[in-house]
Amino acid sequence: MKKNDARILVIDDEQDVRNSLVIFLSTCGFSKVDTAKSAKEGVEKAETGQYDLIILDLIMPRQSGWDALEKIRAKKIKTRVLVLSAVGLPNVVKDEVRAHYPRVGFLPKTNAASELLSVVTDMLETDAGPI
Amino acid sequence: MKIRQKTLIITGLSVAIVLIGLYLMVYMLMSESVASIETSNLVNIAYDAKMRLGDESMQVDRTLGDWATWDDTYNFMQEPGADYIRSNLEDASLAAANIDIIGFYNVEGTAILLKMVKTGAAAPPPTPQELISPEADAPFLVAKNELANSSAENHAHGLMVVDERLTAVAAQPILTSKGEGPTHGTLLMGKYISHATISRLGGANNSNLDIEAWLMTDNMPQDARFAIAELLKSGDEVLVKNLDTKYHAAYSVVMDLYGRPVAVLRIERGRTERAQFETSMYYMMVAFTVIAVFFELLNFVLLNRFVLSRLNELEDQAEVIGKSDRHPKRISLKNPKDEDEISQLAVNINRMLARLSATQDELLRGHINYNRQLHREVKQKTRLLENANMRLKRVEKMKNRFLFSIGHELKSPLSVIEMNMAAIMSGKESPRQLQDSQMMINRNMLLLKQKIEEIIQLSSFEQSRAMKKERLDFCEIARGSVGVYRDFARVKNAKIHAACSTKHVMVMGDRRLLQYALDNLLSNAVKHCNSRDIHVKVWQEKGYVFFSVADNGPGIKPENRQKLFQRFFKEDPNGPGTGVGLFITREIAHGHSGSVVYRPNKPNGAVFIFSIPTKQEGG
Repeated sequence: MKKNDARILVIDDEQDVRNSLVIFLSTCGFSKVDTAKSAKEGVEKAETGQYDLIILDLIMPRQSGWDALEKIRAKKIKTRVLVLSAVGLPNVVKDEVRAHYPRVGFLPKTNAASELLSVVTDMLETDAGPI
Repeated sequence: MKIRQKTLIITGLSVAIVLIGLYLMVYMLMSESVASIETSNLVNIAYDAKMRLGDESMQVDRTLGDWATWDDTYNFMQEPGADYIRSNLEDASLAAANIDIIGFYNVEGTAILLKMVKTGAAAPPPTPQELISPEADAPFLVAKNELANSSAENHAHGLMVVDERLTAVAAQPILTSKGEGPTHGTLLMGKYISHATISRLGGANNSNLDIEAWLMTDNMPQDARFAIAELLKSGDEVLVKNLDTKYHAAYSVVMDLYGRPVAVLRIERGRTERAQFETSMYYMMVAFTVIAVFFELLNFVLLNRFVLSRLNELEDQAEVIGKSDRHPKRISLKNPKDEDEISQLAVNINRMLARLSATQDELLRGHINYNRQLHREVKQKTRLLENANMRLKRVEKMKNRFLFSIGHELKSPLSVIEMNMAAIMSGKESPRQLQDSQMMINRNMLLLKQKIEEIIQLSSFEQSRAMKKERLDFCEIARGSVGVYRDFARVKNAKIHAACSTKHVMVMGDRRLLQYALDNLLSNAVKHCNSRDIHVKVWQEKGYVFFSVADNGPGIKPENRQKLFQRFFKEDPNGPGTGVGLFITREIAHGHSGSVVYRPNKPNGAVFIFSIPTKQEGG
């Protein structure tokens, strides 16, 4: 899939994080990057089925990233999901995510600048499907 | 050892000691008396024997009297003739008269005629020399004086050793039948003291005597010899010696006519008094033994009946009580009316048991109360401990959440900074994106700084670090904070409206801490404003400067208002923030002798009012 064609949804409660990801991804060639400031908004947008990749934060007020994952699975939304989180120990969180959602990717936020492009590129080459 | 045995032993010993003592006392006292009596008796016997011995010569003297005061004898002395001899001096006649020797002496003391009487078939003994030629002062020559008459003082009788035989002799002056003189000489008669005679000296009532007489010769037995020596030394007439426990003997010196000791009379006798005494003492001992046994038995029966049985009863009941449970029975003796020491002891024991029961009950009650009290206190303490533990766990949990969230609070701004830096470095940003990246980098650098400051402050408070106070303008700090957070608010599509009643308010404060406190309140307001405007006010009143921040966000739920300023408290545990901001802000207020309070805003939202005195002590 061409970068320009990929539709990416960023779900994070922090505006600066959302804006940073939009700017960063755009410098990486991804121009179709949408944002949602809450898990609820993000799931509603994901339901439309038009996103090739969802970048999801775990720690959000009211409904967390975990709630969002659960709803995406329940609604059988076909997409790809990358959890981008700054909370806890990366390996622990990664194992936790993979244990419940084997098809979901994980990247610590602190590694976003260095690895996000390669991870997003790799994920977009996989098949979209229910998580 | 039981009391019964002790009692029996004591009483038995007491009785035995008394009786033995009594026996010994009686024995000792009586023994002396008995010894005295037997000695006295034997002495009397000895005296009697000597007297009887003396009687022998008196008897001869009596016999002699018929011959000495007789005309025939008187005339014979004038003209000794054979007729007289033939008629009167026949052996048989003389023997019948118990005469063994007859001698006629003239006035000069010369023996005219001496006859030794022949007895039996044996030849008469030879005439002893002492009779043939008596000494001139021989006492039996009583008629040396022609004027000697028949009065007793002219008689001589006694014992002599004649022919080595003890002889009873008598001598009288020869006078007419009328007893007239002048005397024609001395008539002497003698009778041998035979063994039989000696044996009979004790008298008819003393047939158990063994009497012997020994002449003073070398043949005398040793004991007689010693007795003589003692008698002569002491001057006593009789000496009594105990031969053994059964016999004793009396010794007495026999004097002759001359007054010289010629023989020893020894009277041996059985110690009958001693034997009777010993027998009596034996019976006494038997009697005492019987009495002792009887007394002991009686003692035993009476003691048992009146004392020991009651003691046993007391003991048995005490034993039962000793094994019983908390409320023991009381002692109840069979004859309670016996007001003796045992009854009194039973009464005292019962009193003691009653007190013991009462004390036990009291102790038990005390124990129960103590246990209850202890249980209550333990429960209370446990509750307190549990509460403290729960608080600790909560704090621990909150601390862990803080540590958990501080990572997120730091990493998020960092990742924003990194991504924007990467975007800038890529050179592919649009001018607008470049500007946005710069602004985001600035904001998130401030956020990082604030979070790092929070960590430092939290650490400082835990280490009780002192504030560095200085004289500063509170309004200047307020303006600085408002200026920084206007930008943050803009990101949230909100505005900060600030109103300051005065340009300058001088306080004594720690600049960095005050900055943090005001930043924290503004940061919270911006976070929770829901894109609505924020109103900030600064004013002075009654010696204090006030800084209030009011937002129109959701506000704080009533149930959380009490916990708002607690360390690590977050209304939404998953929400943004570390939960320590308000806690640190309050600590800063208190450190400046001020306060920070919450008020709900109307119609909704939160108002935080931070105040410190305008005049403070130097820090």
